[in-house]
Amino acid sequence: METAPMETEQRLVKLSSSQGDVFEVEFGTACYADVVKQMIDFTSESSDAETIPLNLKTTVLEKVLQYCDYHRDNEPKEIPKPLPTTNLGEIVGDWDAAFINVDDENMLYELILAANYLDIKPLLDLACAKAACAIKHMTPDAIREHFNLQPEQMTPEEEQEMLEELKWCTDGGAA
Amino acid sequence: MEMSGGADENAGKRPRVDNDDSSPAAAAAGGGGCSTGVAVDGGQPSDQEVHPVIDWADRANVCRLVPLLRKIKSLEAQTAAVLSEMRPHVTPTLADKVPGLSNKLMTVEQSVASRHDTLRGLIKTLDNVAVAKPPLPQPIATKTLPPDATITQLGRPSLDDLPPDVAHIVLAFMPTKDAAPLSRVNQAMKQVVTDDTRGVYRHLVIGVDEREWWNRGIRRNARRTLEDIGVHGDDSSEEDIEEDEEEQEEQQQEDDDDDDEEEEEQEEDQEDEEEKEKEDDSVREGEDDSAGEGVTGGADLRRPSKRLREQDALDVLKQKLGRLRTAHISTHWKRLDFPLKCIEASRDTVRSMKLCDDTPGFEDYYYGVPTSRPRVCFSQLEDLYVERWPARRGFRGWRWRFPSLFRLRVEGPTPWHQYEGAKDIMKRAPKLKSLSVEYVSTRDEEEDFASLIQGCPHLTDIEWVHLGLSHEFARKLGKLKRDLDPIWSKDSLKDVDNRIGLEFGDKISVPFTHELLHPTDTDAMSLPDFLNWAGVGQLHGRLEGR
Repeated sequence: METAPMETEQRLVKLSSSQGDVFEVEFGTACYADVVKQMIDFTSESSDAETIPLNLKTTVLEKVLQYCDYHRDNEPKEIPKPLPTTNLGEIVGDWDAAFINVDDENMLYELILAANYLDIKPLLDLACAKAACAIKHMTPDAIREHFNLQPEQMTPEEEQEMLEELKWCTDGGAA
Repeated sequence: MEMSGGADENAGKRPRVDNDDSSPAAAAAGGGGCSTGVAVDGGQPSDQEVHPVIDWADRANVCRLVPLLRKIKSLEAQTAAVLSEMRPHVTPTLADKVPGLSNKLMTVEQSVASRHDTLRGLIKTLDNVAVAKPPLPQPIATKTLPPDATITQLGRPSLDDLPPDVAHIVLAFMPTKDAAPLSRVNQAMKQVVTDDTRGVYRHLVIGVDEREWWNRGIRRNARRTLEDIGVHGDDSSEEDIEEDEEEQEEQQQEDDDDDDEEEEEQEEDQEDEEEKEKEDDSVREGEDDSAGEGVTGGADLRRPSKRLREQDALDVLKQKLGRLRTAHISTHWKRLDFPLKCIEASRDTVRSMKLCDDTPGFEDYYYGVPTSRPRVCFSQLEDLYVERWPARRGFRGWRWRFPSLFRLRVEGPTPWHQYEGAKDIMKRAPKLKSLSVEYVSTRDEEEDFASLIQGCPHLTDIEWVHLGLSHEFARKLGKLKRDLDPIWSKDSLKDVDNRIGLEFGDKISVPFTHELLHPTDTDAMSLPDFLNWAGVGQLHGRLEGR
């Protein structure tokens, strides 16, 4: 067991969530996100022990760190566009499919925002692909209901016009 | 560990585990003939085979333990050395006079050797431990927030809360037909979906299993009324439903036919064309024939209006899809009539096209496109990836032109299909810089390569040029140079990095090595000369082989 590389790997970085929870993670894991690396580079000039504040909820940061820790040693697969199937496991592998198969859909969208915020492109693609799979076969009405979105106030004429425009892609019996 | 001395009856029974010079036994062995040489149990083979998995958090502890154990092991070795120095002084007479002296010293020696071996085994074990992946990180502390602090919450993000850049990534994973309806969700989604540069109407995406939908489903949808859709109550007449069912049956039948022979596909294609022509006629007639001829009643009155609705809806859609920036078709692209019309309508805006074909096996049938189809000049197209470009006349693509095309990649079921496809496209792509084909032939008899590239004076990146069997290498290289010379030797391209990928269809075997290096044929060129010419001679460039 080499001690020198271990010492490098063992450098720990403290990241805090927006709720004040502090995570101590390895340097390599933290630096998987370029934004965090830049923040570490910046803060290490002033103080070694400084905690990097991240504008992420504790549960989201925890999940992001799990992804970073796994993929620092396992290069993620590129996800084809458009998705050839909605079975993500066939495309990205079992670990990523299980990782992104979150029970709470809010977590999925928070992960998308977190990946965007931290500039972790593979995670962003994975989460966006999952979101695309989820809404692919949903009608606009179903999406509104699913996400509790309010429809725009339209006059009957405007609504008719929009429906007419989109009837080419309106399969089944509902618009 | 080999033991010396005659007192050890177990000597040689214990397997040798290392050659550590610092072992107490080795030290004792150097000390004279009184070594106990007792085999001990430390460092069993099992110690070396086991690779324990330690927790992530214990990695630092292991790092600290190992040097300390080495230190103790070193001390044990020193003890053994001191013991060996003692042995000459324990004479037989002294041993006789002092009962237990010899036995007790032997016990000490055994103990030292045992500890040393145990330590060595431990060190080896710790050196070989595997470290478990860290568990999900847990917060190590919770900061005490100042009383006036506000925790920044991201709220409950949803589809329409995503920043436009991110929302477009989500849309990019969806085909156009699934992404377009999202504009009805709300205003925020509508802005994303219909964005003038990145929206779904600027990037036509057709998935692998959408051929039937784009050929028939879209037309069926387009000719419905809103009542047919059921938005304001389902007023569909029995006849409408029956028609839809018939169409579904037809579609099912066609799905089944997909697996049939090519001849059947050809017939189906012709039927499609005939049906389309009939429908077009109906549309034309329908405009002034809405009253019908008074013979067949309401059904005939309604049919033209349905087809008019279809035509109107598709015209509107074609306008929307008539300014595409990219087109990516993942299914049998040549048989998608409406999408191809949209692509052709986007002739002045489309910059990149990826046209895939997922049909298995060969295809060599006639596409039956009227010869009066106008030429389509894709003035902005720079990238084209195409699979199974038809090699036979009659296909609409034969009227396409690519005056701005820079990069071309052609794939097909056979090298011949690829080559012919590339050749056909390159005739209409005078600015081509990069060509990628699985197999570019250099056959002498047809002067193929020369004719392939002669219309592309800017071509500086080519793969893969097939050089044939090894005995042909030198001659092919000579021909390749002669073919490329008119282009690559131009003054205007002297500072350009050229790249050529060579495909070797055979190993360079010994009998041909001399010929390859020193060809006797006057038309041939040695590999070093070719490399020099292509790479480091008067030209700048790279040469790759596979």
